[in-house]
Amino acid sequence: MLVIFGFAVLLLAVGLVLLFAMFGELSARLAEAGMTRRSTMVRPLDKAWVGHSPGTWPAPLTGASRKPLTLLVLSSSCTSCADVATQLVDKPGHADWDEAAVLVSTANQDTGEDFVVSHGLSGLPHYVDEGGSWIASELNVRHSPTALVFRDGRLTAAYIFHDVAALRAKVDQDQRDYSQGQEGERHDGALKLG
Amino acid sequence: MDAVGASLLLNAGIAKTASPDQLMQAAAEVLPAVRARIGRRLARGTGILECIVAVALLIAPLRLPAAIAVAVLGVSFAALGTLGLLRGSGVPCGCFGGTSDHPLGWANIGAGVALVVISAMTAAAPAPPAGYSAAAAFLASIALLIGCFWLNRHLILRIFGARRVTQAQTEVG
Repeated sequence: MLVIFGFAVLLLAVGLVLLFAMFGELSARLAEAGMTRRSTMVRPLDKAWVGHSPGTWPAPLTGASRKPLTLLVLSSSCTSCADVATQLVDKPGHADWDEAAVLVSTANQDTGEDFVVSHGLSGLPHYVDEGGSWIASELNVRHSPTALVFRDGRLTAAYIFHDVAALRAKVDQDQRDYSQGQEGERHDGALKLG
Repeated sequence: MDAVGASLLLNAGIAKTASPDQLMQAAAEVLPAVRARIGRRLARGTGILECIVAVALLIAPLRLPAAIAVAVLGVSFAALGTLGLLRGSGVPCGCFGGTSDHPLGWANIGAGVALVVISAMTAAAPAPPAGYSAAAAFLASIALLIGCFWLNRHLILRIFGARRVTQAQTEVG
């Protein structure tokens, strides 16, 4: 009798867990269908090596590394990364964002190249990072989509984001603070200045 | 320990069964041979297997075979985590459905090792007393609910946060 009651309670608990799982799936499907607003939250990526300068730069990014740079790290198999690529190119499009470059982390080179071509990213400075080896070894970044902000070749901030316009506003604000010599806030992942 | 192991597997299994896409994407990233159809079926199948093994762990006569299955699952999680580290996975792993936000890596290796340890302890433990199954089911239910609320805390906070905003808007308006 007690065994039956115990497993009945377990079954109820399983039902509740299943309900939560279905809520999560519903939320994800609504987001994909564009029926929910994309999150505009831009939050710091804690594990990135902020303050570090990469020892080597991939050839396609060498020119970009000499000026203020916002490197967008995307993965070839990530749905939200595909959405970021769409935002960059035409919805709404950020062709006037001179600082932006793209790094595509992927399991193999061909898949990464396909991602660049199919999402129209060829016009931006871009690099296909096979196995994510460069981004992980130089900057300890293993998450996407993320944005890495460089000044004078040094990583000054790292963010997790989903909305490119919100990210751009955040980066512009950081740049204004940097230019005015104001102190950044360490807790939001940006370098403490001054 | 059996109840904790069972609750972990049930949370992961149910979430994977309901939301297999995230795990499928993460698996496809580190194992390009995984295609969309196979990946989704594989993720759902893994979820169902985890649920079956979890329940078996709570039934006294099935404990030992379930412990072996737990060890196999633990080794496979650790292997997938290692593959994710080696191939630089950046996509959330989907191990707990849509609530997962870490890519395949050390967390999976840790979970795999924990499951292997739990299975070893189960195998080494003496035969359970009468009433084991009832007690284990109760404990697993509690652990399952705690784990579920923890994993979905962002969703819960979002719902309550929206409710507070609506109430504030009503008071101001």
